[in-house]
Amino acid sequence: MRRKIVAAALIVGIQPVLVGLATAGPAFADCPANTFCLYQTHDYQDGEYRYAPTTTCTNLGAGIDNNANSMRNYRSYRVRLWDLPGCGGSLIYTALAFSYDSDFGNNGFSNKASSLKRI
Amino acid sequence: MPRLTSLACFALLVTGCGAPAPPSPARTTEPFPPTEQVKALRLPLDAYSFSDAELYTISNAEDVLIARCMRAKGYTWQRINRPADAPDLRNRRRYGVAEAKIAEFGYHVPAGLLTPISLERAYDEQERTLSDEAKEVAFGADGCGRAAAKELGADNNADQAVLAQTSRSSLYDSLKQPLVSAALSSWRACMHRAGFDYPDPLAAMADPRWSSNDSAGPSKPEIATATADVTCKDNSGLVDVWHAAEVQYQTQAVEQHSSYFSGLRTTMTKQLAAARAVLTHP
Repeated sequence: MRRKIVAAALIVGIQPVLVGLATAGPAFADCPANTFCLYQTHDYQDGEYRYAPTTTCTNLGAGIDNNANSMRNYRSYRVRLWDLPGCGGSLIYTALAFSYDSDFGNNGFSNKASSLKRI
Repeated sequence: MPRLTSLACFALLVTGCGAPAPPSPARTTEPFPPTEQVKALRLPLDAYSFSDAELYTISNAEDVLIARCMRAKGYTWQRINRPADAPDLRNRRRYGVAEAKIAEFGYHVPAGLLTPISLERAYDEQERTLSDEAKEVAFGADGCGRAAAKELGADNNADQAVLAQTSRSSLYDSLKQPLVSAALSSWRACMHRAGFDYPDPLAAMADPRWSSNDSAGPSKPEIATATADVTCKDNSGLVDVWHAAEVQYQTQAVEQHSSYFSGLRTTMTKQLAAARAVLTHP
């Protein structure tokens, strides 16, 4: 399966850049250390969106907004996700530090996230 | 002008222009003290997911274990003293923006609102001082961070599905409750008089115009909408009525799934106990 990787530089806003195409690999093959990654499909498949969560709320952009289904959090802090932009509405998920989740569907979070913030 | 001053601070913080801070953050004055109304926005489901204070307790314990692991591998890890007594304001933006002072930022989140600024600076300082090699040792797939999280029970998370679904359905379904519906009609009419037409505050917050360019900060129309939103919430009493309906909804849900929710709390209690044990005997 072909897969796109989108990097988001978030200190000055989301700047998605298509940086490459890769085949899906094992659980830790892609998302680099010190990065929070969201995926469009369970098992870390399809588009990979990389974030460096910072001081303010990050709204998820086109392609991943309401379309996140798995995540890897290779950061030393928790990352919270909300169902509305602006870190509002229902708090739907807290990604633990140094954790990964291959399927949001197992916990009722599929295609719900619209924003995120480090805590 | 207070609003311009606040916006200038916001812009500086977002672009990271603040001075470096010490690794262990000192407590600073709360930049956005919550209103009494916001402080009272507690919900029954809050007991079944970690508060910021609880998360910080676990993170502080992880730091102890990571520092030990990194030291064994020849690296230094700066521990961060997170505020384990942070107030529980997790529902501050559940009904959208509900405070006039916060509406000055439109629907954007100013630095310091959801995470203490001192902690934000400590995170940035930690990242700035770690070498790439040390980051790999700490954050890599088999790194010290992952090992610390596992030791504290991060892999033992209970099934969150019912909790997540109930939290979301509570927020949206309660809008149909008669008292909430009446307050919502009043809010809608108030917003219409101010020149804004949205079905509810969640739709106002989710207006795609506000998130089309995060780096630009809040626009004048966004600030005007958020300000009217808060005024109309105050005039209609919507937040209090909506919150009360959610309390009722969630109370019934917890009763209906009592064994599930008590299981969640048991798992949380074990994780917190493990973290506190590490902190007690570092």
